[in-house]
Amino acid sequence: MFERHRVTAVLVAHNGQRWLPRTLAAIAALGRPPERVIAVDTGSTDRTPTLLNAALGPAAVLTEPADTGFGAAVRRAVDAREGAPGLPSATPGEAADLEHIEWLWLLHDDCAPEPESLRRLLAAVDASPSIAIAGPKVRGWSEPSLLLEVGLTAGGGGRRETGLERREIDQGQRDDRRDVLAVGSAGLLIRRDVWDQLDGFDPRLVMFRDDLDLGWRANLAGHRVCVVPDAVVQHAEAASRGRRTPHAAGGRAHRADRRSALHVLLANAPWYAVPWHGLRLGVGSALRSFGLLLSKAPGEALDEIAAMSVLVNLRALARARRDRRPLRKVSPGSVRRLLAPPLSGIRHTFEWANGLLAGRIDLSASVGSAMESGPTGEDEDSLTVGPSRVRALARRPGFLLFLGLTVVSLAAFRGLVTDSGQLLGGMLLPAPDGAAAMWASYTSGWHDVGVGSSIAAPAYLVPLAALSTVLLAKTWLAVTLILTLAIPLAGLSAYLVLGRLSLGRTQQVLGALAYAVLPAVSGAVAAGRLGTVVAAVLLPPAGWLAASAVGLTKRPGSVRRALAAGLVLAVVVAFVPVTWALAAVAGLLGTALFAPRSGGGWLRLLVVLAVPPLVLFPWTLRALSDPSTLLLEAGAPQPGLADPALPAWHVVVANPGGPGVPSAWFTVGLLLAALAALLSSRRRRTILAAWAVALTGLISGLALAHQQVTPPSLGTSVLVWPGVSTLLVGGGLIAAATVAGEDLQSRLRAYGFGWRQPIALLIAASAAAAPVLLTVSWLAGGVSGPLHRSDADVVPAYVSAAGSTAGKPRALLVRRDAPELATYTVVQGSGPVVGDAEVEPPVDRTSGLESALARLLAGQGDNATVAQVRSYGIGYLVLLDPDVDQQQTLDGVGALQRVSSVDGTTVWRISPAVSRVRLTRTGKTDLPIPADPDQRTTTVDALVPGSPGGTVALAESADPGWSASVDGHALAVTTTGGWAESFAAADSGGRLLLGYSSNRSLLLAVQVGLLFLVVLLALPARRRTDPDDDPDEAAEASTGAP
Amino acid sequence: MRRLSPSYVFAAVLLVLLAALALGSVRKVVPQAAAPVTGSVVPVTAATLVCPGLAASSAVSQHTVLSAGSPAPVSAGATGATPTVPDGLRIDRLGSSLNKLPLAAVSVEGTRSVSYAVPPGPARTFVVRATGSLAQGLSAQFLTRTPLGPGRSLAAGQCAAPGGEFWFVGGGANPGRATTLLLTNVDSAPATVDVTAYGAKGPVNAEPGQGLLVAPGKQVALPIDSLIPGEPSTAIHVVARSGRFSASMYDTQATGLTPGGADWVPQSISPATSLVVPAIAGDFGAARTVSLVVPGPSNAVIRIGIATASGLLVPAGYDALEVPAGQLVSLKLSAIANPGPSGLVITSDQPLVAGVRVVRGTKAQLPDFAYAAGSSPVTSPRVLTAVATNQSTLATLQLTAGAGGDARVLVTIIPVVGAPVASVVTVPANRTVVVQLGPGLTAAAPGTVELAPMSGTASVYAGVTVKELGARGPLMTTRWFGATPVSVRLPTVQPDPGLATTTGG
Repeated sequence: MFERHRVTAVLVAHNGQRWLPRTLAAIAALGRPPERVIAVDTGSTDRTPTLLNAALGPAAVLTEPADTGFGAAVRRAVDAREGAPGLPSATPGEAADLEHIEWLWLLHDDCAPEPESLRRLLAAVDASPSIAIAGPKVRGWSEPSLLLEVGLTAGGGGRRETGLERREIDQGQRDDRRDVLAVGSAGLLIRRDVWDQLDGFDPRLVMFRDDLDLGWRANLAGHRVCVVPDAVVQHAEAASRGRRTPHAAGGRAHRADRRSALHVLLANAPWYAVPWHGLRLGVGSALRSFGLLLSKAPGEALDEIAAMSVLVNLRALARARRDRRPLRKVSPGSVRRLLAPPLSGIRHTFEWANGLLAGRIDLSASVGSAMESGPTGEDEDSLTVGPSRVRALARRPGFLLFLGLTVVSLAAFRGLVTDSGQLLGGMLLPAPDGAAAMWASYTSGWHDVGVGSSIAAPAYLVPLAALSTVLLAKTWLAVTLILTLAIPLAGLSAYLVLGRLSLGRTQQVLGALAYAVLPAVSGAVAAGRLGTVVAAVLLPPAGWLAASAVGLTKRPGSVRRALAAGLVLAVVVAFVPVTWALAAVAGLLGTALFAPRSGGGWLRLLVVLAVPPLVLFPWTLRALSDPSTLLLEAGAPQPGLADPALPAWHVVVANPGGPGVPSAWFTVGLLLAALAALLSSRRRRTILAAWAVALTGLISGLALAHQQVTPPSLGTSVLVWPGVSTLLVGGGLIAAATVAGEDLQSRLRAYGFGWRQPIALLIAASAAAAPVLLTVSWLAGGVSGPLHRSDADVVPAYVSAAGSTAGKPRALLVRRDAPELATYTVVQGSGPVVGDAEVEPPVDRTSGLESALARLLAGQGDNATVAQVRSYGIGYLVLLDPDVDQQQTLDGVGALQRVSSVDGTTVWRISPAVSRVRLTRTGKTDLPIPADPDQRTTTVDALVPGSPGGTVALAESADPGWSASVDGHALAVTTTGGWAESFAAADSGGRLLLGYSSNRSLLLAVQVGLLFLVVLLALPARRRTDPDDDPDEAAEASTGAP
Repeated sequence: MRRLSPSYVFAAVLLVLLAALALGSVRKVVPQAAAPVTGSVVPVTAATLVCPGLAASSAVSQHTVLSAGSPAPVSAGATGATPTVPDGLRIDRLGSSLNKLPLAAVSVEGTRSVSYAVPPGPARTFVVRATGSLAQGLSAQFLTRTPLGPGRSLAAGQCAAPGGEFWFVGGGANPGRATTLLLTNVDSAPATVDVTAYGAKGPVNAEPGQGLLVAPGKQVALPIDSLIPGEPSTAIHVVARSGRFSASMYDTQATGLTPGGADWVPQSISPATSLVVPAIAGDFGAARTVSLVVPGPSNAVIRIGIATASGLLVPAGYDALEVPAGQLVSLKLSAIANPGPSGLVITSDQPLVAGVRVVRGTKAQLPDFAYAAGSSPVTSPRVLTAVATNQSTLATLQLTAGAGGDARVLVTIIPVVGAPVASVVTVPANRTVVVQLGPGLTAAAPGTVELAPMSGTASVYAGVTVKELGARGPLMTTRWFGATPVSVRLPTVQPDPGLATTTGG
């Protein structure tokens, strides 16, 4: 059959003794054998030569050195074809009556063609003479149902793209014969004249991508490259999977692979696209190497960098392109349709994420959480992916729970949808303009908040800023998402962790629902407590990871998991510091109860607890110096956000009190069910562990409730809110109740009907009612409370804009709450934003303002009083909700000029214009010194006159970080007004340099270093074994090849 | 872990739970230490009063005395000191350069007050500024006697402190009347002022009175007939949109060339549901008209009682009188037999302002009139300076107590020469008590009358009626005690960082 086609099979082998027997047997069993078989052994050190000689005869076996690439080996075989004795060869007679067509059929030592493969390839090329290269469908070696290749194309970045899904099963879905860019070299059939025309594989490609390049060039030369899916070879892809050392590539498969990828793309792409590809590949390689570094594959990261030499070696590239030019017959555009679509990379990422969501890729396997073994049949069922991903997703209860809770949450936020502006109120300050501002606020050593402070910025800005950066620098979106998705995310996280407890589906969903709508969560949302919201979402996984790390679950503990648990805990601690203490108590309790003798367990617990203080490093120092921060959480502390008369039993039923919490009676059922769970004789360990968590929360909650702390930046005391404690209580009770509820039915059936059934039923019903009641009350009430939406600007825009002029005036916000009481605060720019409350200077810094302000408000102020206000750098006085009398009182003060009175806010400008830095002169008026308006921190570079006995006075808090010099001579530091930084002025004039310097960058470098170290240690090592590996490989290896 | 029986564990957990609950409940719930915020009381250290448009024409024998003073501090006892012009008191002409006192002191009463004769010339406005202890309870007055000519009258005015809102019940715009509103700005910031005139048909926001700009150091005179022409009785509400100003109102009347009297309309207190109008002169034949305005949107039902020396008199029909909202209602009290010196005690279900106009003079004589207005109670020491009496001049202190209860007040008469005379006067509720300011005070040696409320008693309202026998008929006016506070309550000022965020909602 197809006698006019003369096929020479070229088998290239290198250390292939594991695969060769099967390969050779398959060649022998071909229904339409090739006319000749030539084997090239490239310096094998195992039994490969022996096997080849035995099967093909020594004459058909060529031996080449070990560094011979695939292309070179084929070339060698082609050259040696003529006159090789002992090979089946064409009879002269045939040559006379038929025009012979010569073909080369390329085979690897690890690729076994199916019996009919060659015949079908020939059938295809016989029917379509324009086909110059034909390739088979490539399937897995040990799993022949797996589809490996049906033609190839080039993706962005030179990726060799098969267009297949990961581990796609061959069900005939790709069985249409079509033109492709290239086919793999395993089983590639190429017409001899085309081979000669193209001069074979590009010798510059030692290994990998040579097939891609060949096909691309053939296409450009006007030939057709076709995949013939009914021809099948099974391929082990041994070299590219790193299962053998590719000597031809100098042992560095990855580097060779990357280098080839770059080369192929740059050599074949149209000339105008080369710079673009070069740039893209350079950036891509840098990113990839960073990623590889993170996944602890430094060698491959290095390969990635080394492969970029292609980009540098322009001469080689030019030569490669020059070689290709004469062959090019068609326009690059006609090949473009065979390239991968532009967004294929994104599609790959999406598919990966989708796989993750669908459970096909187990992240926990890599992050290191353990799965408590148990009957999870139903879950397994839900994880399989059916034909429709959407339908499959819709069947997943976790997804449905998330979706449902999102709807509930959005419905509860209904009241805030119609308002304009952004979410703020309670502890939540407005979000700053853009993530850059948030990063700057975190990294800056000096904060222009109030009258300025050098307090270390809170660590929670880092995750918040990172999230904002991901959300295209929209900080408000980050805050909004955290608050609106608080409940669905908490539900999802509880669902996933409860899933580890091997529960029935109903218990798992009900438990997750109950956790998501715990009073602490709704209370945290209502009071704008970002911290507790984050804690609610992250505590379940953190707890599970920690327990698993210590070794309390069925898997043995691991330090890597301990580090991961510590990292998750660190995020929570950054938002709610007290969580660290709770984690310590719960950890000690758990370890003492369940693994008291495990030295490693104690050590790993130590690791979990040590990570947060380490990675939050500069903030840790601050927390130690100001313990009030330990009991508060992220945001601006305010009185009235906690219930001063919280009854103790509310804490027991996981109700923290304060605005936005439902009735405490709703959750009583959970307590009853959890208590009843204690009587269960099954799964005692889990129930006790849950109770240990609940009791930790309970004791800490009772200890924390009614505690008062006085943040220096507030000046008044605020009550501690036991939110996270009640989260622990709630979580523990829910876990105990759901675990016990799991086999309630069967257990009750075991008893005869009696008092047990109705009581158990009652308890179970009351427990199941809790999530329903909580959800309904959350829905009915909606989000109401201190949290609201409004325009964040408290001061008119012209006032905040004035803050970035050379004088950098601040605004003094004043409200006359009662005839005998006025409150004030000093703001800079448009007012405080997220993260500013923590760095606000102590209120006593501005106590000197208070008497002046009192006189002004009582109509007893004069210009001297205003001067006192000015010395705080205050250029605007903003009276909130003033009445006519107050306005007129202030109008009567000469140095105050009313500039606007809109929307319940009246603004006076203080004259003359204020300056953040001024030179006081004996006997003369103060001289304002302009500061650099572009600097966030007051910085001066100006010529000043001499002023014997005068001072350079700053309207900034005194801090050792300030320094000033005139003509290089440092000025002596003094303090004015008991709070402000100032310097003794120089006697003679000169160039004044004034600025602030801090060791913040050093501290941050330490933090980044620590964080990097912990992350690096916590990340899983890159897997050397491939999931597609043969299961029988180990056996094969141990027994040796037959 | 050794296996424990479930019931033991249950009992143990329950025990821990109950113990925690008990401990948590027993723990004292510390009430938020909310110290009552009272602010602090400090003496006033600076005060400014504006004495508007004092004219003294040489053509007629007009005579104006401007006087200022303040109550003596409790500890003061320097009676024998050499009389000097008090330190810390400065009188400037509006718009003139500083430190050029245009006045000659006519008398100096101790160290606490001083009187000046305003020399003849065009109308001038003076600004009285006091600092230090003199600012406490500062009072500045002026009294103009015009015995002849078109402006024949006895008129007393009070120098007004800058403020943002003023009410005047009085004046008119009918033919022969000339009522002028004087708005003065002594601050350095401009003031923008709206004037609303109330007449019998309701409030009028006429164009000339809207958005009036009173520049710093300037005065604006606004004739009332430009706002509400033809109206015989008016009430004027002046309010600042921005800035501060002082307001005074002067009313003159004439029938052809026959003078009908003149006087300054005193400031009325802001609308209130309970008002006392003290110091209504008690003459036979005097016409007393009370004017009422309910500026709010609802009609008011009011009760007008006349507090006389012998008790409260409620005329028939005045115990439940409906006053339509926004309209000026004038009621003649003359129908009632002369009650003698009296005050009005008005209660209402809606805030209102009220004033009384008393016209004296029989048909054969030239008339003069005086105003009284709802006033603020005497809650701190107040003085009235340059009080003089003689054979033809009668000055009567009228003290009226409201419905709140009996009031006791220390009345001290401090003559220029001689020892002060102090007496405690008890004013029963709803009655008016009269103190004749008699001997010891003369035109040549006037004196100061000081009122000091006794602590723990009810509010008392005061005014001094002055009557003179003029050549062609009686002259009259009413004088009012200074209302500058002795001390102010400074608010407690507390930091509140939350202020920057709580405003949005």
